[in-house]
Amino acid sequence: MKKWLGILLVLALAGGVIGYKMYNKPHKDLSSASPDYVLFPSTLVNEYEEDEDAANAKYLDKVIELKGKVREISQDGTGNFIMETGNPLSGVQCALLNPEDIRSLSEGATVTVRGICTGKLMDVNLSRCVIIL
Amino acid sequence: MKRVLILSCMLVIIAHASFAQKYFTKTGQISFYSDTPLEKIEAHTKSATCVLDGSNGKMEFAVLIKSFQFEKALMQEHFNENYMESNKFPKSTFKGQIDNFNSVDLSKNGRYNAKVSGQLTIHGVTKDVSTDAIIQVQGDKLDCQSTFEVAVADYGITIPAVVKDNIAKVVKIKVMANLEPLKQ
Repeated sequence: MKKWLGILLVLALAGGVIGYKMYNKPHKDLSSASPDYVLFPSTLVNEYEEDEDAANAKYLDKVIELKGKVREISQDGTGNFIMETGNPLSGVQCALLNPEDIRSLSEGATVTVRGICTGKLMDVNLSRCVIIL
Repeated sequence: MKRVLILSCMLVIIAHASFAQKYFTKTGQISFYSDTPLEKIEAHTKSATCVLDGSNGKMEFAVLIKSFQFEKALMQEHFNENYMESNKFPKSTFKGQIDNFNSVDLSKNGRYNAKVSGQLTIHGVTKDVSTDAIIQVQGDKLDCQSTFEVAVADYGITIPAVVKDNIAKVVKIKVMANLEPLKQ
């Protein structure tokens, strides 16, 4: 009887630990995560312009790595910048995980950025972005 | 004399048209807060778009649901997959206008109280809403802020019984947008 109680207690404890770990599961670390897609910013935007639903089905929640030129840096402290796509109406807007990383960027410079695709408003949007050196 | 009159009328019209500026941002900030005795949950995005037509006070917001960031990854997952179904409904929008636009002078620095109303779409459900907002005019920039509340059930979002005490029935939403003149 005592033995069973002991086993139950251990099981309950293990369940609690697993539950707690799941509850506190960390966000994916994009600086070490391998990308699902490595693309040019123009490729991503073109696919979205062609068929937004199909592009969403393919790219939403995926880790996207882009290499390209910085078109525009937002100076409002929100940590957003836009990648050049050759399409003046639609770029790729990247929201940096650490807004202060924006200081390492300059307009016209070539960068590699990794982020999670959240869809398209005017630009295709990536969130939790990190700059890959 | 008649000609001068017509010409000056035209000039006034042209001057007015060029003043009818559109204001815009792609980095609008939206946060929401769910407070219950059991749990406080909040999420933030800094990637909302907003455009305001300076000629008539019409305005539009759009935000990607997946751009909202939570402290806990699991909550962000549940929010997207179970409650907002963001693969099916990726965007939330607001289309409306400043109702008392006559008392907001965008050409004059100052702090204005605005009444905003329009249609809010969340989770594929569109509802009429109205709220108070503050517009701070500083040169050619507009700093807009508003806080309002949304009842989760109004938008067809169902909260499972297991977590019904952890998630507020009415969620507070805070919007901040620094609009700049749209370069045309």
